[in-house]
Amino acid sequence: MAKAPPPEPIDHHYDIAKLTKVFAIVSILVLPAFGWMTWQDYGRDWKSWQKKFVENDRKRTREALRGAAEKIDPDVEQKYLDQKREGARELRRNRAAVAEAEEKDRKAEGAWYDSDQDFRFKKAEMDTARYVFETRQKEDPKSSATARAKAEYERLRAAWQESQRTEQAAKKAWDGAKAESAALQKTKKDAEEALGKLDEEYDRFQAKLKTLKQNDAFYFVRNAPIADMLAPSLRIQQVQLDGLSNDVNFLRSQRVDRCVTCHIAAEKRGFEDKQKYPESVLRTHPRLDLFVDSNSPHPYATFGCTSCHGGRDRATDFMRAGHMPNDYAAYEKLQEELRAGRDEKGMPVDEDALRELMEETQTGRWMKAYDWEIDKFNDLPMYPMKAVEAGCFRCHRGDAGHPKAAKLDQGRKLVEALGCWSCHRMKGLEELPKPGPNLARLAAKTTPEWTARWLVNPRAFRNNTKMPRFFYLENFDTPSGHKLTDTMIAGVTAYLFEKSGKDAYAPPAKGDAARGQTLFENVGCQGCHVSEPGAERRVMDGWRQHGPNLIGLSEKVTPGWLAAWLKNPKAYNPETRMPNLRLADDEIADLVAYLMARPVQPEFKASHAPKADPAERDALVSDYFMQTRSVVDAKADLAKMSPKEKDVFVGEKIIAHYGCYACHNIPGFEKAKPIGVELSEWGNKPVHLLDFGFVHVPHTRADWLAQKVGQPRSYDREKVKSFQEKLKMPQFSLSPAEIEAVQSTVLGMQKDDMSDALTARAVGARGAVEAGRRIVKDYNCQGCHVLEDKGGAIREAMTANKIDLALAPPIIRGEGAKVQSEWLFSFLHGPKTGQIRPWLKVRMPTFGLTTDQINSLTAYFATQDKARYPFDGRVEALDPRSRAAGAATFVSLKCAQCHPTSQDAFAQALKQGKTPADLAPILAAAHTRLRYDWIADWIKRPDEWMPGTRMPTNFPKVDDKSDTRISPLAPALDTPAFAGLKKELVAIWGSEAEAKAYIGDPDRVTKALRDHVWSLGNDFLTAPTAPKTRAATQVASH
Amino acid sequence: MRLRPILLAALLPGAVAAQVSGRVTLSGPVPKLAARPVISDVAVCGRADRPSPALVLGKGRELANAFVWLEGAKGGDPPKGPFRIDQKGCAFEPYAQVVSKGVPVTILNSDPVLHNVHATTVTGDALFNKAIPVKGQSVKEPFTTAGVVRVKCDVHAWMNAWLFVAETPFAAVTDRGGRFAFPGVAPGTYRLHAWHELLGEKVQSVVVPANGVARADLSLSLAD
Repeated sequence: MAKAPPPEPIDHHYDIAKLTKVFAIVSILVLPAFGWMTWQDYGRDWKSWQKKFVENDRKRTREALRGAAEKIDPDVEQKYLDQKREGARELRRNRAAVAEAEEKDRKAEGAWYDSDQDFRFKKAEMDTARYVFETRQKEDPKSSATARAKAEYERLRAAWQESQRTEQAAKKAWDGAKAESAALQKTKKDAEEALGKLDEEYDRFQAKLKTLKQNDAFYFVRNAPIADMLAPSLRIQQVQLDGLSNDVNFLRSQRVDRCVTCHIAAEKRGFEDKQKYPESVLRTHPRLDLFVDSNSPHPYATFGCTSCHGGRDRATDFMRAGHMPNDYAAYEKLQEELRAGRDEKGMPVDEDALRELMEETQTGRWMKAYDWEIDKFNDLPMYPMKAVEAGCFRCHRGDAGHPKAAKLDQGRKLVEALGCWSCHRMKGLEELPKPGPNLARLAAKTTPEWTARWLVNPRAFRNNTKMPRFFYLENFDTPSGHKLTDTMIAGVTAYLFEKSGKDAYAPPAKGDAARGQTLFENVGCQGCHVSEPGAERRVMDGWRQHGPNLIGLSEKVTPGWLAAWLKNPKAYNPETRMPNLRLADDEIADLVAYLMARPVQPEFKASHAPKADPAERDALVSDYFMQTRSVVDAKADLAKMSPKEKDVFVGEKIIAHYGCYACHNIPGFEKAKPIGVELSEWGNKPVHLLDFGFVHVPHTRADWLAQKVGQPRSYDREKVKSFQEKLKMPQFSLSPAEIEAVQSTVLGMQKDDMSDALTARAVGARGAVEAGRRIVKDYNCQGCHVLEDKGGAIREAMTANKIDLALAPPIIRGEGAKVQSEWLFSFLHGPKTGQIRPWLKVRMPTFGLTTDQINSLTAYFATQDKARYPFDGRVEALDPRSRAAGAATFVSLKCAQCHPTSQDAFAQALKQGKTPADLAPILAAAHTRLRYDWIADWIKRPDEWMPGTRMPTNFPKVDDKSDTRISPLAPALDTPAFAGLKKELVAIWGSEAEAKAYIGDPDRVTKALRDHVWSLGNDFLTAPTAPKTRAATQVASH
Repeated sequence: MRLRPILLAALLPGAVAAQVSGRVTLSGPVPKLAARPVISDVAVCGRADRPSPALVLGKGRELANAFVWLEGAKGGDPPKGPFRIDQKGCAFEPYAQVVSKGVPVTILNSDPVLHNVHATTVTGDALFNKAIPVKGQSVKEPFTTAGVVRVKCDVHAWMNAWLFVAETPFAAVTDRGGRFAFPGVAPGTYRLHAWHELLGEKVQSVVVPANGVARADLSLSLAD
């Protein structure tokens, strides 16, 4: 048997044939994998959005073009060409005319030059002759040579005069030619410009057409699978955010926002219409004035999107980006009902209806469209849109308020007013005035009974109180819990009264409640206070809720205390923000009579002060004792104490336990630290560190917070806790909208991870303005004044009381430009009743501001108006003619009929029977109060400075649209009524034409009036430095 | 203050040319008005207190100086004027008048003291405020917003006047007999408004038959 030939020696250890097969199989397998991969990549979500956008964009351009074409003309091109041809023809004609005119001009110039030369030579000749004549005349006046010289001189003089006439005629001819040529040149230039513009328009039109005709096939190819690696038009869009990074556990990575990959229309105008572009992702950002746009304060290139919205920067996928729906909690609640088959009240539910409801929620829609679910691995998802303003707070926490973010602003006001910040440290909200009153002298103000009843439920007494409820809440809602609560309340009351100062006040004289009411409605109380009974809870923001609702005072305070308080609030509580209204004793008596007669809430009237339960009290005291001493000692010590001592002991412990001293000054707790958790970076707190207890709330930060603020003790439900362990946060009774507002604020309290350049730091001008706004907010200036076009809340009360709004506190507009900062300082330091506007019944109170605070305010006003600060330039001298003209105009316009020019004139007017209400500000004070430049501007346009002012508008606008003002005095000057003024003005200005030029110019007239007003009562100017008049100068020179 | 209807309109169709006429009366208590003291420029204005001109009543409680207008009535331009307000003896004359929208009103000062003419809407929104310092001087001001306008002089607190700025010819101020009439109204149903400074506004509907006269009497009161 023949042996098979031995295999050829192999120099490799694999079988080619086998390998070929393997390769073949693998490549067959890989091919679909490759195809699948390409398809996956090609079909990424964001691409579909971009494609959709391209479609939208094209449709829009096409529509716009169609619209434009319809608007222009059907045959726009032909029309353009016609216009162009006509324009060119016109231009040609024009050019010829221009050349001709120029030629004429040149010739006329030549003629004039000749005549001018002639004139000059003749003059020289004449001068020579005159010199000869004069010399001869001196030597020998009677000689014939002199007579000859004279004749020669006269001849030359006549010739010179003749040449002068010729020269003047030539000059006139030349001027005419020059003007004609200039006019023609201008026509030519205009024509050329118009033609250029026409060309530009045509080019733009052509470019648009070209875009429209762009090759669809090319678009397809460059974005086709695989080919799209070269230069696709659909691609990921991103922006690197300088100075911003992600914290990736001990590493920092550059922040790169890719949101506009899908939100591709965000920065493009023209995609606002919700009907036309139903997908919000393909719409323009709704606030391009504030965000995204390169001209806005938050341009996309610097801030990106995640700086404000939160979320994952690099994600290009809906889920991964961290989108959060607004109504996840509501969805979960429905889900829970569906699971249980019963609703909240235990009624069986209609499952189909419920499912439908769930599908209609944003969460439901997202689940369907994007498989949305809560992403447990994303620590910082986006803020849900309802809390999106949290993003503002990240950089703006140093500001005093947030006028452009309404919800955040409301939340911030609540967090400040309710004192969240005083228990929980919050960076940026330190050093505010304590939200609660000083309790160091409580016994002088009220009774233990009232205090205990108040503690049970503050809102029963006062429907708008900021004081939250600490007691009788759900985690103490058992019989023993109630007893413990009563014991705690009795203890707190006992402690406060034990430690309180006990000054006594004599009751005021008997007042008249009706007069008191009039005073209450007129003097300005209602800028900060309401007096509205009703069990319904009031919203706590709003300027008129700044102070307490003045009801039920008869239950709370003594007339003596109230009188002393009104007389000088700072005497009782040096930290109070209640200002001093400088009320007279009889006014105080009337006000007390009125306020003490205001109604008491019936619920409060029916309440009783809780009494301590002896057994609970003993148990509580022992508990505390046993923390530090033995059982035997504790018992012995307890036995030694009187009931009152026990109450006081319990009170001290409870005040420490609940941290009452964070909001109130309480003797014995001056140095105690607030008890709340610091919230400065709460917005970064990992969700797994939050205790959701047994409450069914979605596990998100926002939902935990809403539950906590709304029902602070609910996370204790179903839990077994000792008294010490129970939750302590009080009940603020906020409305759902208010809770959302607080959410927006607290969610925004995040690590300070924005770069310095992006953070709104309160430095420089911005710092000055924010510091001023802080004081404006703390002292509620806008309760009375319209400031920064907001506020003036008292006007609402005045309208209700049928008081003329002309008597409202002044609108503060441009105050920095208006008054001298020195004056403003002294005014804010110690305003006097009737100092500026004696006719007002409402008074600027004395706030007792510190020098620093007043400096902040004066700087705030000056900075806002870009006025010189702190000193306005001193006016050293006034133009005497302007001042004299001002004085004449002042008399003629009868300004003094309302404005006393001096204190004497004011007194005189009062003697004649006028009341301050009939008078306008005393002008003698103008130069110490007002800025020099401002006075003229005010006289010119009082209607714009202070709408509704009694000061008449003497220089009306030409029409509503223009800013130009005219002087109606100009035509009036020729009437007999103004003959006197005319005569004076002619004397001052030297001629009638000059006088008319003056009176017809609102600027000059108002400045002249200003100069006169400035000189009133101004010794510095009226005495020696007054500039010399022309007459005086002439006398001196002779 | 809203006034609720108290009397129903008596609608009497007649046989003459189409017109709406009627009478405005006061029902209920007569408000007592304090006289206003004269405290400034007594040399010109006199010293005597000024009785309030707000309420001028006839024997049968007919109400003068009330504005009456037909809402929805069309046809014809409002009168072209001339309209004039004089300030004489420190009082506006006339006290109440109807002017036409957009037609300038001449405001004259016949006193040798400064008066200012401060016009506001009935809700207090500023319209204009001009000074007329000199005797014999006048200003011309058109009113561009329809409705009731209050005119006052801030220098002399007692001085005030009322204007009704009308867009149609169908607006009038009642005479001393409380009467008003709108001739030339097309047949149809309209809302008839009556307004008085103290008594507020009242509206009732009025039906004008073809070629008929509609009579509409209104009664205003301080009630509510």
